[in-house]
Amino acid sequence: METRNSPGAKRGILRWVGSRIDWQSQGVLGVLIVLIIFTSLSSPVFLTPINLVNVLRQISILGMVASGMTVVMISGGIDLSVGSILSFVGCVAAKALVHGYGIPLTLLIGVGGGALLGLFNGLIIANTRAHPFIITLGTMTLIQGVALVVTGSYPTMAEGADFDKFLWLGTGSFLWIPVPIIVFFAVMAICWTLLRRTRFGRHCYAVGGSEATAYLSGINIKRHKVAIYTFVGALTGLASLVLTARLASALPTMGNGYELQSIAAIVIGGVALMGGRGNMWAAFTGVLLLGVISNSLSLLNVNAFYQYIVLGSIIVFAVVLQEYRKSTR
Amino acid sequence: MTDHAKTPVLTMTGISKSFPGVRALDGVNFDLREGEVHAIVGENGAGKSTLIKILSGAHRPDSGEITLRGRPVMNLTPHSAQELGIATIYQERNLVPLMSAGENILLNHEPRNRWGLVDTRRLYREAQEILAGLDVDMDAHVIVSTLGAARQQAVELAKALFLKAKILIMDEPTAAFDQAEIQNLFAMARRLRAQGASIVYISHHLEEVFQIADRVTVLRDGLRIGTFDISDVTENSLVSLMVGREIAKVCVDIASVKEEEVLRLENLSADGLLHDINLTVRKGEILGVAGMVGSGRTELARLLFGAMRPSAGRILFKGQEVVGQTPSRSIRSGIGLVPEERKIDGLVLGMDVGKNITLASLRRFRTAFLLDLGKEKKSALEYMRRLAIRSPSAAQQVQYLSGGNQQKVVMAKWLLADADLLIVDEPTKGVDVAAKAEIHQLMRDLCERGKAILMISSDLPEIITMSHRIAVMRMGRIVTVLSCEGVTQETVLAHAIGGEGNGN
Repeated sequence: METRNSPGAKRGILRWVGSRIDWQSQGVLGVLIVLIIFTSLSSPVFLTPINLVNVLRQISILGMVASGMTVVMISGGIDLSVGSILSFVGCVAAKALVHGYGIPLTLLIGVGGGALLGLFNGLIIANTRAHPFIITLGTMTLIQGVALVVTGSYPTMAEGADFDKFLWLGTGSFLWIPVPIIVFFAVMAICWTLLRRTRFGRHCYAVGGSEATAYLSGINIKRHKVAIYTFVGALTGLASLVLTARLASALPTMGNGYELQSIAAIVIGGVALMGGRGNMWAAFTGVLLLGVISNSLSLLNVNAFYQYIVLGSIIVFAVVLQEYRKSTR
Repeated sequence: MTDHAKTPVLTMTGISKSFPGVRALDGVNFDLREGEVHAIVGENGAGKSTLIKILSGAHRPDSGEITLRGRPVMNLTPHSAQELGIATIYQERNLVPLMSAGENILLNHEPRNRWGLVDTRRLYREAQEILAGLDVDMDAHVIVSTLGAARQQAVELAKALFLKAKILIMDEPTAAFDQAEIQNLFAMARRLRAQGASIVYISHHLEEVFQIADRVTVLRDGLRIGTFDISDVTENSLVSLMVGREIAKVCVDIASVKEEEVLRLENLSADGLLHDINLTVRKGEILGVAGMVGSGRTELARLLFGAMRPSAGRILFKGQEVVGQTPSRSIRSGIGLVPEERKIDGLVLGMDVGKNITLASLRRFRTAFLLDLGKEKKSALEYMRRLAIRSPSAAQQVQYLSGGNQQKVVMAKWLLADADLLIVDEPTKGVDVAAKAEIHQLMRDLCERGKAILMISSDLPEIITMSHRIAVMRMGRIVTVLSCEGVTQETVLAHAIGGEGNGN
């Protein structure tokens, strides 16, 4: 027994590490590693700290949206309206800054406004039997329309001292780390804690796994759904503030495509489309993969149009690989 | 039996199959003769389901050989199995619910007219002929989802017959069937056998096995214990082969029943489903609720638990009138529900065992905002031990457990939630003999500790042996409440099916 002690302890550490990693996302991890090796051999820039930080900064907005989407999808729902919320809230926040509402109130408008829109989604979804896909498809179009009407489809440009200070959220650094990355990691940490360590998180898995069982185990399904969409709305509002600060302006269409990209990213990572399964690690690897792909393609000077083709192919490949692994288990 | 009836249509040799943490089958041999009904019996987790899933192509064996009429079969898939004439009738219906019976029977083999379009008239004519061949009185145009379980099964059999299936696998076909429906099914099975089909029959109900089977194979813990002609075995000898040990027969003990009423129902009604229900359940009592499927038993359970609203009448729980009940309020006031469909309503299948156990009691593990995961796991493990839940760990997904262990997980959930009144709906449906005895013992222990149980069951021996009193339901009403003394299965059944059924 004595002699076995040290390898045993080592195996214990390995097992601990193993238990922290969701092996369903191994396929993604494989693709990611191959891609990293390939790109770092082809481009000397790729592995430099500056570029790596750049990758993280580029994925930070998508990452925040995807974190919220992970929570919704684990509980068996989906939210297609996040892109429109991103646009609309950003425009409102930018106008608030320009009109001198001040930074604290703007932050509140951003997060609170997102939460309100989420609440609107949640109330409809919880109180009707319609599928959230259709409901949020509708509110996506609706909110987009409102954003266009309110702005007259013009961008709101940064102006004034408040707006200059506000830009720190998108372009500043704290201890040499860009602020968007810090916000992104904070959002992931919140979602991770929520999913793993709270009743709310456990209820997400239960509702997504079997709504009937969750209901008969005393979970208030309606309240839970309202809470989930409100939460996603709030996170999207936060992401919208960071995006506006980074662009130093707000466009009524700047959020287009975020909904599908975030869904693609987390499904690649291993979050189940049908609910009940997934975690933040999966969401992160999925988002990171998308970020690394687009970064590599830029570094390798691939024409932006071809980037779509490569990106699409890799999404299909990663998901097929995952399904294949699942069926052979 | 003629001599040609002894030729094996199918042989399976040395079949082994493992799942994560479980060796489901270990070198099992099985053969099926032409025109025989061959029953497979064993506790849940003995390997019956795995064996037939291999035969139907749903699982691939790790090793072993399958030969069909002397020819080896490789890489069986559900599709190739069907082409080879192997049809499986699962517990879970395998029909498209919103299509008609006829469309289901000829699915993927629709007759076409000369334009290449479906010839609807011919389709229904053929389907109707097949139904008539099975002696089923049904209009082929009827939508499947409007049919009861037994009628849906008839459609499945008709489909198998249409596909000229030579081997028919029936997995627990009579779950939740009443006597008449079971006899109908047997009549259909005999007709198919007479036409040369061989049937693999899986059931927990040994009396059915003795009625229908020619031979029986006993599995235990993934091993084949033996294959016997049905005339060479008795119910008792089969049970001891299945279990490998004797199960003590314990009679109901009235001593645990206290005076204090836990639940009182006064003139309780729900529109069209329940009428004027008057009932009481006392501390330490098991009240059995018997009745045919559709007699309102499950509705009563859902109503008591707050998953359905009453239209009239009063519910008093621990002396207090209950209004505006929801499942979450029921749980907080001390009611638990072990639902009939544990895989749909009782468990989150993709979640692990521990989290399923604590799902209704998470409030207890909350410290400020966060859950105390260590304390939660400790509780889960304690209840896994107390209920002898066989699982490699608390982190095992509950879907990989056998039916009996799954049911124990549902029971553990309510024990942990400390329910004073437990409503159990078909507590041992699809559960093996040993787990059944354990669940029964558990319910008795709960009564000893002053809990009350309302037990709904189609299993008459279970009702008779477990209940202190028996309420019999028919057409949404309580027709009688019998005391446990001197009651027989026949009396309960007679009340449940009513006057016109007495001639049976």
